[in-house]
Amino acid sequence: MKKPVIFIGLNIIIVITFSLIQVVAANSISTTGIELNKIQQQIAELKKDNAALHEQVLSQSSFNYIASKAASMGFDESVSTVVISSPLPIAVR
Amino acid sequence: MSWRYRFVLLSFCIFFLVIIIRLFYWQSVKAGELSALGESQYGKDVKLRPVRGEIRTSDGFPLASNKLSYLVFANPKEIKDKNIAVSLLSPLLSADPASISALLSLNRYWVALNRSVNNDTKEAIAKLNLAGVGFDDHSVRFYPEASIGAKLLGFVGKDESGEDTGYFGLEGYYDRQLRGKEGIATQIHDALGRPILAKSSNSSGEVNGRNLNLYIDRVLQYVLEDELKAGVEKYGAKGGMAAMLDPKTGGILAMASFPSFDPRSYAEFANEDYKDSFITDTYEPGSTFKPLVMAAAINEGLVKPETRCDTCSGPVSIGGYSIKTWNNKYQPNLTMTDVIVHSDNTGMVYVGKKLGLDKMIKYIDLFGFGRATNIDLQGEVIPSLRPRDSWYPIDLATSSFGQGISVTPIELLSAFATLANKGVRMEPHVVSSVETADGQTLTIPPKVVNKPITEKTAKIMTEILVKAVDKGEANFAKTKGYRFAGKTGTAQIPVAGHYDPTNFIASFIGFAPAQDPKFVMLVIIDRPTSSIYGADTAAPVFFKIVQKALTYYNIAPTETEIKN
Repeated sequence: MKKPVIFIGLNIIIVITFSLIQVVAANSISTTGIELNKIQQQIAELKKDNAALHEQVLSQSSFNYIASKAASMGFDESVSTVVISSPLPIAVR
Repeated sequence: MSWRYRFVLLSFCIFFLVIIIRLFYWQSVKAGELSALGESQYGKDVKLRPVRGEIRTSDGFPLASNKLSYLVFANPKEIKDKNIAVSLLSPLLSADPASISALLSLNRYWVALNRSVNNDTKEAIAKLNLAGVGFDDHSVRFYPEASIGAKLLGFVGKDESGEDTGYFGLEGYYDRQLRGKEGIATQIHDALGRPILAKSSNSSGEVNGRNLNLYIDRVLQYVLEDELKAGVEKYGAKGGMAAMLDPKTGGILAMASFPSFDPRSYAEFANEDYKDSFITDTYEPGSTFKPLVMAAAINEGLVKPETRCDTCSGPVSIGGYSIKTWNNKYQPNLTMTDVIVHSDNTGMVYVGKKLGLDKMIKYIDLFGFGRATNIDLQGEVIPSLRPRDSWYPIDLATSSFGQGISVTPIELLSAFATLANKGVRMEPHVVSSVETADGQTLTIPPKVVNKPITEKTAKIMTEILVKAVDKGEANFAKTKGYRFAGKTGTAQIPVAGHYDPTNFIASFIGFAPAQDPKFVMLVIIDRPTSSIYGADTAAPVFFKIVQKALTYYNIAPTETEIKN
């Protein structure tokens, strides 16, 4: 009569142990969905920021922008070019 | 064993058999359907739209990139006070209040208020906290250099199924490479819609579009467009076009034509404005064709630069037609060099006769006329040539000075580049390499088409063309200190069986520096009103571009002005 009692008791202990482990495990990962959601939102925001910054960098490094900025700062187009080079040998002239 | 036991055993067996059959039905026969049903409850499929590839100049700067744009939508049934919503939204969306009001009055759950607003507008609308108004982001084309290179690029529009599709130019030609491949992502979520870390969450199939790296030099493109536009306005022309090509590789360094369009608002322009005239328009090249005919005759050993023309003392009569020089002045015993320098039509008729019809047709073919240049832009037109048996003596004569033969500007530029590349003709190309989504670069090697003339002929022609610039009508516009090889052209326009007596196409084609050409360029001014001559209109534009290009390339002058 003793053996079945031990067997049943052992089973109950095992079930309770596993149940506890599952509760602990489920509890520990229960917030990962929220975390994951946050991370995904963060990635999306960073991607958007990156795209906006990329657009801004390209706009401000375009020749149109640089030309208009230079004109507004008083820069003027160079009308002559000075070339420093060795004179041609007389024989070649 | 009593029958009762047997009955119970049999009942159990039947019972378990039914369960096994039912399980088999659900787990094997209906497995796919149930799995899909399950996934639809806990998972969500999202279409992953690929990012369209960039189009970059030789310095890596994108002429066409991408940016985020937002679709503003509303659920009219959720908006309580429509008048307030209209008054708040219409100024931000730059829309007529009546049209916003009409949209919000519709008996629908979803209406698009604006399909493309920028981030600032989206943020401003979001701050209003209007119930029933939402946003959907998507990627759209962005042009950092505005309309520079518009005709080269083409534009991205929608096809019949509403998908982004490239039209015209590079967007059209390389559409399949640029658009990439759509993928699908599955995200598993909980009952509240929050994502769960699960094995079945995945994304597959998405491949972003490939980037195109061009031969186009951003500086040269900017300079060429700027000067060409100024030239078209200055000379009161109907339009203009120009392109610069590296004769050694066939790479297009810059290309533009006017009138043009703005790819950011392409729908506001006429269809005619989308075409790149440099590859789609045909015209009679006039005197810019003469160097090619002369090169053919020299290559065949029929004439030399010092050969004298014995039929140049007056107009030449052929088949009832009288062929005159452009200024009706005649110089007997002109040398072949002088024929090109003074752009003498009678001298070219002499060369044409020497060459004969068969060789003329042979060289027209060798220089690539009547064939596609295979430039990698959508819409290249191939002008047809007259069949061999339809050539009359007058056709041979007029073709020798560039009339009665139709070409596209790209055909002429490609053929002329042969003179600058030791007689070797290269295939013109805009894209130098393609960059895949995983960063691999696929180089497109320069392609040799053929060698119509020898290196010696190319050198002789170069020297003749240098004299044509130094002593010809365009000399006043020349940038001092450099050796240029070039030729002016003033072509008549055929209209309904005759030539238009009032309108002309002025052009200048040449390369620099003559001793080691960095580029070949063709400038065409369409129907200028201030002067009809190429020397007065196209040549100054050519030399203005060249002067800046030589400075940009750090090429020092090689000739010193000697004053005696």
